[in-house]
Amino acid sequence: MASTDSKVKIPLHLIQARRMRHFYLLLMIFFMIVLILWVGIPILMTVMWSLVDPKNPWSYPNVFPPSFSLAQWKYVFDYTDIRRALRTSYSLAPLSVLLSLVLSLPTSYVLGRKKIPGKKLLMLVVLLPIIIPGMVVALSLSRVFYAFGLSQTFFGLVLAHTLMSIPYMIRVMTTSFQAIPQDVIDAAENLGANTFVKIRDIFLPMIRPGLLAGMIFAFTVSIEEFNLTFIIGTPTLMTIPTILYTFLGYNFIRTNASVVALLMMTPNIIMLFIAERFLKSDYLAASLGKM
Amino acid sequence: MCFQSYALFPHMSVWNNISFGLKMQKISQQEQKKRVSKVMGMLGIEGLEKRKPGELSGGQQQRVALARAIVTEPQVLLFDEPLSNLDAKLRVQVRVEIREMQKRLGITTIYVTHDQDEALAISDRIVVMNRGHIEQLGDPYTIYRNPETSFVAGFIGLANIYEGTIVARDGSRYTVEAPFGKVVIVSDGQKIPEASKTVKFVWRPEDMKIYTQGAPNRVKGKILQAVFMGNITDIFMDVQGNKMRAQIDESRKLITGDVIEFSIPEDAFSILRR
Amino acid sequence: MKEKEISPIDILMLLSGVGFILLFIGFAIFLTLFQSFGLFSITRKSAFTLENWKAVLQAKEPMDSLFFSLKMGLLSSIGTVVVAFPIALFFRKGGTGKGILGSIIKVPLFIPALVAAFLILNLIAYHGLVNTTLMLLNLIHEPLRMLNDKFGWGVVFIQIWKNLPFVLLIVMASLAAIRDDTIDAAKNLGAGYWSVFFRMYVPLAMPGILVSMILMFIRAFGDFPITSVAGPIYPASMAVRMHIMATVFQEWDQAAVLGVIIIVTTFMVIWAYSRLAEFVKREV
Repeated sequence: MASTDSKVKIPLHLIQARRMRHFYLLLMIFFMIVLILWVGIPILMTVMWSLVDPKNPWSYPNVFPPSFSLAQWKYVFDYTDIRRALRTSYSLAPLSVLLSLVLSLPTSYVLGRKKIPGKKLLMLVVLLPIIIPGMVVALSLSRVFYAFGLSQTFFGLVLAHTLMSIPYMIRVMTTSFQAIPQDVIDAAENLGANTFVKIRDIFLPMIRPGLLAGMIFAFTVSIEEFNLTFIIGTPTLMTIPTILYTFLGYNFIRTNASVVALLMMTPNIIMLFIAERFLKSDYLAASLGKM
Repeated sequence: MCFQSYALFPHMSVWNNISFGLKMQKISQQEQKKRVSKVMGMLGIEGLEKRKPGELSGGQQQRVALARAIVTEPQVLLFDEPLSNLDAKLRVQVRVEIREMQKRLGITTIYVTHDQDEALAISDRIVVMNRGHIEQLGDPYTIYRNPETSFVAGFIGLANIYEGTIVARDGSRYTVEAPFGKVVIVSDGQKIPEASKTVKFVWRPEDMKIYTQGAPNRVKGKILQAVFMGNITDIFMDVQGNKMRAQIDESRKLITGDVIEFSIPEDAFSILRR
Repeated sequence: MKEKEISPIDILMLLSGVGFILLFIGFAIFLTLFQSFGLFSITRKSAFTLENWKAVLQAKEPMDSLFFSLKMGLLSSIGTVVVAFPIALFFRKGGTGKGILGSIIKVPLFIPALVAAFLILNLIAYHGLVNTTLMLLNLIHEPLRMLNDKFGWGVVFIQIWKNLPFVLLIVMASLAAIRDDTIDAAKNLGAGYWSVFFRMYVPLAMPGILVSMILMFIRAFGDFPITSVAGPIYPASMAVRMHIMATVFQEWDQAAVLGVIIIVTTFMVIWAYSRLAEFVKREV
């Protein structure tokens, strides 16, 4: 019995499925384009502004600057306090990371592995520095610091930055400590490990990813910290964020601000990609507030 | 459809779970109430209306999933291994209930499982599938007694599968030279083509009987392991270098190394296509 | 995981982190509180008084600021969630291309608020790219005032831009927790696209939605850098006003009142959230 159809009839649901897939592919491409524009254009604009040739100012109706030059970058580095700000920022950050690490580790260990009454409340307290809006903390803390002679001091800023990064540290580290199965520790004890060995060979290796994540967060928090640094540090000490702020306020020079903004952004973005490659995104989610 | 994982809506009460399908079909509230209550009564889950799935036991969740599937009075019902998450005892109990309910409501049902006991117990017809292909289609009895392929033979029930050369034919009686000796097979209606020199066949361990004088297809084996399981003894033996399995219901004490003789009834064999 | 019992040493260890925070934050909160009532004042003699509170609550400007900040908080949080939710849904189904796309979308997360404000500023300034393009396309005849506008749209836009990845991550985590067969079961029972969206995805992702809205509200409500750069001159946001009160007018006590209002609002929002979370859990 020969069939009169020369082609095989494709079932309707397969056709529909194929159409769905094409639709999704199109949506994905559209989405990618929108995304690249959404993120890329602001950054691109800033890059262009930083490269504007002072001899050919860029203004309406030009869509692009008429010519490019590195003059602005040179200007910012030579004639502003940017070098000092860079030095301050990048010496504050490692110190505050270290301090928050030292302070967070014991607390995270207890919060992660021991039974504590009112743990929920404690976790909330830990989050207080990030919950309470920064300017409020900054203004009130500045009075406290002033009373103790910590205002406008490097050490004061270290304390302030530590205060802001500890919450993230504790959250990430607590999750890390929690994740260590008790059986592993029991097995180690069963085989004769003392406290020192336990710390060195069990705890430290197992919390290392969390440790790294926390440190990256703490570093980023310190580099970006504005409110407290602005109130407590200015004008004696400048960091990149505070110096950017000055360029945005009274003497708004778009080109200078662009340079500084890029200087601020770039290490962050580099850190983003490092974090993405080497860490799991659960840590990201955990520290961003799984309440 | 009844899912293996039940797929109950975790954020809805039992009542809302069950009535969901009816709500989607825009059936009136009155009718919904009637049907849901009836189904819940049928499955013995009254009183659980306000509970959330997370507060139910495995068996209760199973019944809610079932209720949700049948309350919409579908034309065809699909079960995707619904009992695999229940413990053994509950599994047997629930499968009987499912079968009874299916017969009572008269809904055409397709039931997917890899548990052969389940398949044999509750189906009118079984489709045995292997890697997306249908191996055999038939009622439980035929599938069990007359498997057509070695896959079906081994998948449903236990099997001793061998291939041998045909040395003599006599109508539907074939004398076959198997690796472990000569056997006489009475074909179960399957015609072996004249040209075939070899034949693949299978018989079930439980069909082997302890040898008595005059019994057909005598087989002598050395016991590798005899497992006493209460109602049967599972015997793994070596017959002239070939592995064979037998099951007897006598509670004889047998140990490794014993020599034992069996007989295989001539009609216990099934000819396999492949 | 069996947790071990607590010992005295543990309390000490807790103290290092929690104690540090409590010390400074506690100091800050109490100082703010007391100063609002005139105690521990640094600008005048310390005495308990309700003057500061009266001055703030009865004047128009502070109340306008409060309203403005609340508006910013509400619009930013709702706006970001509304934009993020469909994207999160899309990612859940799309799946592929997550790597690069995921990285790109996370970029604003790592850009500090101040920088983000500046970046967007460049775009939406009076002579910025957006206005230029719109004028070239003849869609408008006069540049739009999107920055430092009275309503605060500039601020809202910047908040959404900067915080989108933040909310996206949280909502995506929530959506990921939804099992595929739950959705399949709904479709199997006849749920159409909108039914699945409103009866399945939204309720099941509600914990994530609520958390991100709360966090965003607090950020936008108490924000300083973005609002001071891109916000209207009048009314100033609460944080900006507080800053000006304290540093420019040296009215620390009144600034303290503003600070207390900010803190109280923050805690009220958190309390409302926990109540709401309980309610959502029990309902549906």
